[in-house]
Amino acid sequence: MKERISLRLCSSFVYLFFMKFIFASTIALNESIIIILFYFLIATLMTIFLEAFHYLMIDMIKYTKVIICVILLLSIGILYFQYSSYYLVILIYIDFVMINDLLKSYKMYKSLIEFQSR
Amino acid sequence: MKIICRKENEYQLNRLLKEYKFLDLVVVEKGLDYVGLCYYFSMNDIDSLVDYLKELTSQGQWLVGVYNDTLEKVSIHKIIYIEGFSKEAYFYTKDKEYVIKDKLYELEEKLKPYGFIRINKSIIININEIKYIIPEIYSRYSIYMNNDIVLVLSRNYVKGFKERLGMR
Repeated sequence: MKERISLRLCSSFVYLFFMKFIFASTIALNESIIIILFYFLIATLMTIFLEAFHYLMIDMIKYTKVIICVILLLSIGILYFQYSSYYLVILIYIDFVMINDLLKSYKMYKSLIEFQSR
Repeated sequence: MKIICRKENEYQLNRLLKEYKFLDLVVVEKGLDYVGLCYYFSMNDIDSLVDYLKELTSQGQWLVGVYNDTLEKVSIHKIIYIEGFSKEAYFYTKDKEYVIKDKLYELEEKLKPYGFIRINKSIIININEIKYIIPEIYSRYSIYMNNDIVLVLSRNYVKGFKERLGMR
């Protein structure tokens, strides 16, 4: 669990920072420690959210298709109200992690149920 | 158990092998094609198939383990998972832990037809006792068992596990 959290935190932070650097090149990497701390805080929040989803997923496996639709609709909704390329790539990252986890669990769950009902 | 046979023999075989349906095994009539592990039989020698299935069910339905210094006979369907150490193994039911003197690879071979599979170097689990499986990092999976124990399906065993579940 610690391994997963630390890996997610690191990758979220690097991704957030790297993407900000790409989409708004006016922000230099050495600009301010406050900015770095801000992105670290956002990465922490993202990690907490993804971790919570990881555990909630257990109860949501049965409704995989509905959950995927909800995730996509929410993402589209967020982008509709406040669109920017930066938000788009961040949402793609979050959606990818969530949907990937959910689909892997769903495939396993489906095969398991089939095996157990044989 | 999955029976692959000619249509005209289907009814007869289903009636004859009804009591062995719980086995995790594929039996194929000679002359028909099947890719994978299976037991071939011919309709002329159906008794040998029944004998084989009888042997499987009578030999492996019980494991004898030590619990509180007493020997106890435990139905293999009650076993949730087995953990192996160098010269002995521990098997767990919902509320008890037993010691057995067999080695893990011997138990693995013996229990394979009953829905048991190895998930890492030291653990064999009963697939019928799995609650759900959640993916982890590094291509590993967490397996939640019916007795609320969480076990790790390690990367090296994922392929075999998926094949056993019939995943493509």
